[in-house]
Amino acid sequence: METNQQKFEKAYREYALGILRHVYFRVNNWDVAQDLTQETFFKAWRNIAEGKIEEIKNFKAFFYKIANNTIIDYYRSKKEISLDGMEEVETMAIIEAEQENEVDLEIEKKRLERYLFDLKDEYKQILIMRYIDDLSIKEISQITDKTRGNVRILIYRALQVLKKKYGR
Amino acid sequence: MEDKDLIKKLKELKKTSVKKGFLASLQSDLKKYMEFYPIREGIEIKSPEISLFFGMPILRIMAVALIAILILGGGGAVFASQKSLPGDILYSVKIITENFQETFTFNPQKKAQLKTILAEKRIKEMKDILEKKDIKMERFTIAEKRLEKNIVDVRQFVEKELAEGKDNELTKEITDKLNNIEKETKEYKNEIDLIKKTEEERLKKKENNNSSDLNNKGKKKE
Repeated sequence: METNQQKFEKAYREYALGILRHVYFRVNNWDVAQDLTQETFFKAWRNIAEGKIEEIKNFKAFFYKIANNTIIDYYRSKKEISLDGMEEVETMAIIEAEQENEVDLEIEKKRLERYLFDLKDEYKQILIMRYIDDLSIKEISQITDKTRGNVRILIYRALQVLKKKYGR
Repeated sequence: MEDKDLIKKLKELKKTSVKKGFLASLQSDLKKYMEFYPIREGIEIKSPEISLFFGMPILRIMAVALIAILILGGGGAVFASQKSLPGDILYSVKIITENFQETFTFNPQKKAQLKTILAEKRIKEMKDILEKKDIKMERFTIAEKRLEKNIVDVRQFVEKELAEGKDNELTKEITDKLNNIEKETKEYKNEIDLIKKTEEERLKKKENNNSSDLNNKGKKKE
């Protein structure tokens, strides 16, 4: 029979990549994304070890929920995001792209990433979950504690706002 | 730009390369962390749902597999199962296909109509069981249970519709059918009860005969 630790490790192998990518798109910085991902899994384990969670029906939703709270805490502690830092990231990305000879595509991708990042967090979160993490409406509703109808409406609104900005 | 184009572009962001080396080192850190921070005694993670196949959970995989079997290889079995009776090997296939039909009928009125049709099927099964030479009571019980559930569901639907003032043609049609079904069920139940009674009496008689035989044999020995 599998031990708790083995079950957790199995779930980690299954979902860690998705969580890291999700956090990255939310914070737009790989170093921060790695720190927050680590924090997410440590917190998840602590929740189990201390008996705060008795039953996990869906590890995926459980991890995303903790990642989401960790990101919110990060922004609360940060309060202000340095715009200079963001521009720097973009410039670096362009240089990297030029080196790889895929300038147009990479710039386009980075532009979308930037506009996605500029959205208000609620919209950003919902679009990343739906289209990058491939979460179902049901899963998003579990993670965000919103009804399925609200999730659908939010996705629609977020898409319209992003389209307006990106399509300009 | 269309919504679908934007969605396509968003989906392409999935391809963003991720530093997998970090994930490997985090896994080993996590292992150490778990040893350092052990789980409290008596706590157990219950049935984690890990996806195994293209990110699909186990239950969904089973449902998809079943549908695939029914479509690809089971078409004949589904067809053949339609004439099966409770207790037959193919009867479970018949019930599974009916359950699928019920699950994927979302319109409440159509669902009630379907349940009425299924209830009629159960009555037909009872009739067929009665025509068999070797009547087994377990067969009746299976059909009876499903029939009763269908009747209760349809009755509830009709009452709800009437309470909401939807006294239309369809409600009337379903009510009429339901009344017929209940009438027929009663008739068959009476017949089944009679068979049960006869069978019980036959067994009692047999038992009495056996015990009197034993007594006679005992007396002879004396």
